[in-house]
Amino acid sequence: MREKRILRTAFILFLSLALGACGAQGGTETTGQAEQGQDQGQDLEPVKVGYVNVMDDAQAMLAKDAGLYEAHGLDVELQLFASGTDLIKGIVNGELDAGVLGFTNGVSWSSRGADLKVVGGAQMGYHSILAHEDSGIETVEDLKGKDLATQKQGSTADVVLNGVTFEEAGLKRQDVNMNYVSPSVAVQSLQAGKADAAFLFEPYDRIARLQGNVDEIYEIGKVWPFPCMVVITSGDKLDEDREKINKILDAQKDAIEMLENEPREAAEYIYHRFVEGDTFDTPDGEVSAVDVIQEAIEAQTFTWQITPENVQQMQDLADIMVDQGVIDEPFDVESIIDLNWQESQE
Amino acid sequence: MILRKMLPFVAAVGSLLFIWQVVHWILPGYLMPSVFEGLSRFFGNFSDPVFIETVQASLSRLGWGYPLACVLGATLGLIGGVSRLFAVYLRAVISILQAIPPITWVPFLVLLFSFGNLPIIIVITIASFFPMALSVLNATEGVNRTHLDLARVMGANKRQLLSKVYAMETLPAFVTGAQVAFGNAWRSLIAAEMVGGASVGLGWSTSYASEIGDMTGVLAGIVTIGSIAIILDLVILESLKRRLLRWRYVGEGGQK
Repeated sequence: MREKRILRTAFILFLSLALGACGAQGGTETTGQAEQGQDQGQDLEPVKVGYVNVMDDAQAMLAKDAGLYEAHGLDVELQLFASGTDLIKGIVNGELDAGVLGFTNGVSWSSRGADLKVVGGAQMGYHSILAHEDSGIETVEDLKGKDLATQKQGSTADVVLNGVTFEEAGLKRQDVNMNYVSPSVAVQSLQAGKADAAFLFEPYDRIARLQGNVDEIYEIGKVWPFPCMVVITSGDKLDEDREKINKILDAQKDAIEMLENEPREAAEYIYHRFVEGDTFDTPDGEVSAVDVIQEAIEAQTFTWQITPENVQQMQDLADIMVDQGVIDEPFDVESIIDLNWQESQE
Repeated sequence: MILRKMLPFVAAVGSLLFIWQVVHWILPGYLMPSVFEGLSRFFGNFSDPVFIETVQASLSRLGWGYPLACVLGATLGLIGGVSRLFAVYLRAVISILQAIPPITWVPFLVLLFSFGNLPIIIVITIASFFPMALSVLNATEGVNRTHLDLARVMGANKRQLLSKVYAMETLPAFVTGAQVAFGNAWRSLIAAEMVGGASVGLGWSTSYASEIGDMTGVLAGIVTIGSIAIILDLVILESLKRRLLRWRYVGEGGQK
């Protein structure tokens, strides 16, 4: 039993290193990996887009890897960030043209005076709670007094966990031993038995479950689907060249349609970003990496639209952010939403 | 006299604050708040119980990890003085530890010892152990051979050589090592709190302020981290140095 656990931990550690390495390799990318698009022969417009190496940002990666940015006349440099809270700084300081990240980051900085705009949708929140089989945790309420490995405090995931998931379960932040770590450390600590449960997103959720001994006790997408990931740019970038931002959105819309309608093809383009080689080596044998990534894609809801209902959910979360002390004053989210591109599509 | 001693220090603080204010004039306020805003938050924080708890958490971690490193480093350094073989071994350990940034141990330590204070305390100990050990080890090599020979002739055994000769002659190196080790300990403490899954502590609170775009909070955190380090180093460690090395500060003829 003990040996199995050590073996499993060693495997997870290796896998996370490989994931990290994949991410590090992705640092910045200026060369296209796929076929040239329809604008071949034309000068491509240089653009910098920020992303985080998680499934939530699959559309940015796919648009790059499937040549969709090029097809819309863009030479995109994808800039990797460790988290949305880091990525937003690249948009605030003008380094990036746009990024795909949790919208609460836009609210945090806008409420302090930064000029940011949410210009399109990306993905509805997928956040799960995985509990160790031996932990005795079967519901969110059972987390009371337990060790939870979770995402950085102040991140979109953290705001939702405390403001929605814990709120519904009658829990407060102080009721649970919160350990704010990276998703890979969360998976490792869960498998090593150092955390009773972990709050994760894809593909970390799937990787943790591949190793067995954990149960998914909660997934917010099933309970309260909300517009977690959005496309954010700065007011300056929008004023400078709205057409360029629209092209980014066009390319990502094509990527989202591929993710939703052809998940297998999409997985074949992007699986290499999450694993080295073609298979995941699990205790039960090898599993095809494309299969795993396809499942992770299918578990998500990608959308380029922001509906009036979504805007209301964003407002609800902004209000929760005030309650949690993340922002000081009530914030009107409509002041940062610019749906001109979306309206032109409809 | 005191004014003359304080003048360079005041000038150093003043010039840093001036640069801060100039950057504030250049950048938007939400990226770089003014000196007044930053310092107002800094002083205001001291009436916030949550902030006091945060400072206490960091100091308590330091209070465990740093003395442990000092004792461990000094003891092993002294043993290296009497055993050549051990000295070579210790130098090898130190050169390995020196090459690895202490913060890289955090994910590994979290897996071994779970979350909480222990991984952070161990990081502090690793970070501050090697300057102390190296300082004492180097000092043992400079111990006056005549003193050693004299002690041996008078019948001192190895233990007595350690406590009566090596320990006394390496005291200045111990104090210097403790000061260098303190800098390492404090920096690694803050860094470990930023990434080690902590939910309280100065590193965590500064990192959290950054997460939510609260740059005033970040600057107030930086001022707090710097101020506490200066107080501990210049006031406490310096006075300890003067107390332990009193004989060095005594002038000729026994006059201070």
